Parts: sequence; C-alpha cells; structure tokens
Amino acid sequence: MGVPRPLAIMSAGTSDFGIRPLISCDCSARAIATQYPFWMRRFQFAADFIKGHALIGGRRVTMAEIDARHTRLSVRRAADTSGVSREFSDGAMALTDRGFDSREPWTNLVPNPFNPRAWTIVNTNNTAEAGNFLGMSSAVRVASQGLTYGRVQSLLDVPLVVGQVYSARALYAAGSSPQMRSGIRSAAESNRASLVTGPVGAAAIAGATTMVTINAVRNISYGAGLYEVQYTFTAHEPINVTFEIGPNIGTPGQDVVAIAGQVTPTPYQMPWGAGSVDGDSLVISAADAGLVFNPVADAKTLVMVWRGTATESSVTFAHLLQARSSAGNLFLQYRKDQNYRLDLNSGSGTSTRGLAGALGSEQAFVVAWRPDGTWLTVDATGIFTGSRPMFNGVLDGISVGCSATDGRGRVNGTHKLAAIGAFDSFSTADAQALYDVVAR
Amino acid sequence: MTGTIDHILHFAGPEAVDLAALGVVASEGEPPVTLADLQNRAEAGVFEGSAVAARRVYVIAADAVHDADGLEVEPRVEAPGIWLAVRSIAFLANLPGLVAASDAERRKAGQPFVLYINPDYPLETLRKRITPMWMGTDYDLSGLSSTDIVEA
Repeated sequence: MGVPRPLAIMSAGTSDFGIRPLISCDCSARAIATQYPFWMRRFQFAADFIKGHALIGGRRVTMAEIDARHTRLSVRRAADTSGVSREFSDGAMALTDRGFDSREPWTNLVPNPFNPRAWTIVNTNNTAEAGNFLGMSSAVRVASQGLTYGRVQSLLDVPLVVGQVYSARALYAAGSSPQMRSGIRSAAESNRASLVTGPVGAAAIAGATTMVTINAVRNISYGAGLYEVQYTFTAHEPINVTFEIGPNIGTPGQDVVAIAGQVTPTPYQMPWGAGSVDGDSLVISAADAGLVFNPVADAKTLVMVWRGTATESSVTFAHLLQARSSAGNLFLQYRKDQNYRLDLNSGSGTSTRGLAGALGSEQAFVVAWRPDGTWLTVDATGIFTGSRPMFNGVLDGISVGCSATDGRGRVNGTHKLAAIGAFDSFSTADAQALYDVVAR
Repeated sequence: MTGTIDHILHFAGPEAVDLAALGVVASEGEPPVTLADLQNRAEAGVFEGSAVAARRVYVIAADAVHDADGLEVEPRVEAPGIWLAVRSIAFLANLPGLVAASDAERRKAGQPFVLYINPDYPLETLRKRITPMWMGTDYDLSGLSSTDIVEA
C-alpha cells in the first residue's frame, strides 16, 4: 500500500525547508501574499488557516474543501484579534485572523445574551443604544434612578449546581457613570448578591455571599470606551440566580451601556454564545488525505507540524493534531492540567514527551516518528530525540482539534498551521529547518 | 429528510435515561458521559448512523415573575421529568422517548416546522418554552398551533 503521490526524498543533513523558501522568495508584497508556502509542498495534508493555503492528498485545495470536512451542528461565534465577534453558520469552520478556532460544546446560561434590552429592569431608566459593539447591536443605556443597585438582570436558564465553577463575562461601554457593576444575585432573595464593582475598566470583587464565591476578575479594555469584565464563581447553593450589569451609582441619570452577558458552566471562559453551541470536529479520512500508508511496511517517516494556541478544555486528552491507525497513533495534545506534549502510541505502549510552552501561549512544534522507532520533537527549547517502536498499521484518519477516532474529545484552541506527511526520510537537520520556517 | 432537526425527548426520571441508547458515549480515554455532563454542554454521539448532539433542557410551563426590585414573586414552573434536546441533520424517528421533532431551518424560514408529535403528548401540552435553545434557534413553543405541523 502506498501514498498516492510521489514522496519527497530528503537525505540526511539536507535542510530543504530552510533553504528553499529563500530561493523561491519574491519580495514584492503582492507575491508574498499569494505565494504558496514551500514547506507545505512535501506534506499530503497541510493547512495554513490564516492565509487560506491548504493541501489534501498532496493537492492544492481551497479552505472551503477543508471546511467541507468540518462538522458542527449549530451556529457559533468566534472573535478575531480585535475582539470583534463574528457568527459562523451551521458546520462552518470559525476562521478568523487568529486561525481555525476549534471549541468544545458550550452553553451560555444567560437568555438573550446579546440583547440586554430584553432583560429585566430593576430601578433604572433604560434607552436603546444604537451602534455595533464588537458584533453586538442591541445595547441598552442603563441610567440610575438614585440607587446604587439599579441594574438590568437576566434569570439564568438553569439553577446553580453546587460545587460547579462558572465563568461570567459582561461587555459594556462607559457612560456618564464613573462606576459599573456586574454579578450574581439570588432570584428569590434579591438582597443576596456576589458582585464585582468599581471604576469603569477596573472592577473588583465587592462582596461575597454564601451562595457563590467570585474569583479571577479580569478587566479588558477594547478601546473607544468599550470594556469587558470577566470573572469566575463557584456555586454553593442549588438556587436560581440572575446575572446583572448596572451603573453602580446613586446619582440619578448617570449611566453605563450594557451590551452582552454570558455565564458558562466551565471554569474557563468560552467565546460568546447563545444557548447551546455545538463543538467543532475536523476529521479527514486517511484516503482523503492521501495518507493511507503503514509507516513500518512502507518504511515512511510520519511528520507533523502544528502551530497555534491551546487553552483549557473539559476533555482529559485534548488532541490538537492526530494521525491514527487501528494499530496505534501519533498525536500532539495536552493532557488535562498539564501542558503541551507529544504522545506516541505504538500499540504496545505509549511514550510521552513534554513540549515547551504553557497552555494559552502560542507554540510551534515539529515532530517525526521514523519506521525504525526513533522519533524527535522540535519546540522552542530545541530538539529532543527518543525511541519507541513505530506502530505497524495503516493510517485510517487524521484530525485537528478533536479525536480522529470519532470527532469527539473536542478541544479549545486556535490552530494557525497543521500538517501531516509521510516522508521517505527526515533528518534532525530537516526537522530544525522546518521548525525555523513554521515558527517564524 | 435532512436539515437541522431538533428532537425533544422525555423521560420519567434520571434512571430512565440511557445515553448509550442514544449513541452518546465517551471518546476513547475519557470518563463516561453522564446526565450532568449534558446539563453543562451538548455531547456528541451517533444514532442510526447520524451524528447527533444531545443536551439536557428544561421545559418551562410558566416563567418566574419579578417585582420592580427584581424580587421573585412567582417561581418558575417546570414540566416534570428529564428532557433532552437532540440535534441531527436527519429526522430520527426511533430515538427513545421522542416527544416531538422540528426543523430549525423551516422555522427560520417561517414555514411549518413541526415534523412529528408523539400522540401521547397532545399539542396543547407542548405549548411551553424549552431552554436553553440551540444558538440561533428559538424553542418557544407557547404559540404552537396545528398550522405549524408539516403535512405528511
């Protein structure tokens, strides 16, 4: 069984990946923008999710052909680097200037999260605020009637679960009030609230109750008077609660603009969503990818490239990039509560190599597993080599941001580059040269 | 029939819910999927060859009422039992506990959208709000009428 395209022959010590891009470089800006990255051409599957270059089966394809292999059973939103939240239709990959944004499923427990005009008004005078704020356009100006606790609030969809850690975020714009508030309040006893309050753009924990404990407050400024406050809270009582935003001031008429709110039952923040949002699966069959081969029987080196940013997920084994056969597999992942790592499963045992970088930091990795069982990784700290028998089986699938087995085990992260290839040979110098290209 | 099909399932209690029967099982190496997981997020599965996403929902007979100070004067009234929303691109008539199925795209287009109603659940008993909805899909069925049903 062979790979359906001629494989590049690379001799030991050759640094093709480092040299060729310089040779093929056209220094006009236009040519660079449309130039196909040379490093990709040796891979059967490769994708540059930012520039839109892709190969499947060694054939140049559009990103739409990658997208056709991506599944998600709902609409979702994803934010670009400036914080603007864009909506992506059922099944469409969330491609932004950050790359391919893959996510596990999540739920925003705030009903009408992008329309605070529909929330309950409590001791405030409200007027609709025109404008588009990072992709949200149903903002409301919330003006104090003279009570600091005036607010708009929304009853969460489900009661709190004791012990569950939730993440909340409130998007707002500065008004005439120098203050703002957000928080969680008992639906049945409105005088029980755990809050973050304080100057616009600098809110802090302001009070605690026995129903929830707020932690990890983070204030974000998007410029032009646009702010977000994020926090987590742990539930201690199984009660119904409301989420709120208000001007936090006793001066009548002073206001803040409420734009959006979110509470997810996760200890980490998720993108903006409404109700339930399905997760992202990108699984490509080995036949489609041109990777139907047995590394041992066909004497090929399995090479992977990945660059992106992984963030915490609910799964234990978060597969960033995986090549799988029924006999074993090779995957870049992070294991829950740990950092990036490469796992090699030969079918008779698993080896693990920790990789550089903490979750949440952008990293680039080049890894290779040779048919003789020697393998190597290249990360920001350099080259590491090891040995573990290669699996003796034919690849059946590859995946980005999920398990190649079934598309489950979906991962929170953004993927800039991903590539998997079968090479006749791949030296340590090749690996370093390739890393130098993809990491720069 | 294909589209974006939402199935609403009803079970008498937690012990009656068999997630494996819905095709919702854990990915390799992961702990078993539980009903509590479905309360936090949708979980993926495969039922009769179709990819599904299942999550727990609540059927609201009456929303809570608050006074001017935000105090809850009337609590929310929920329909008893365990309710699940299962989304797929195909109508799956054999899902256990199936109460109703609707086509989100037909609803968005303003067309009749109810594909199936279990005869054990008269139309008027379904005139309720189901939450959380899927992103972009309204589950408020309080105005449900016979004209919403797709003719066979």
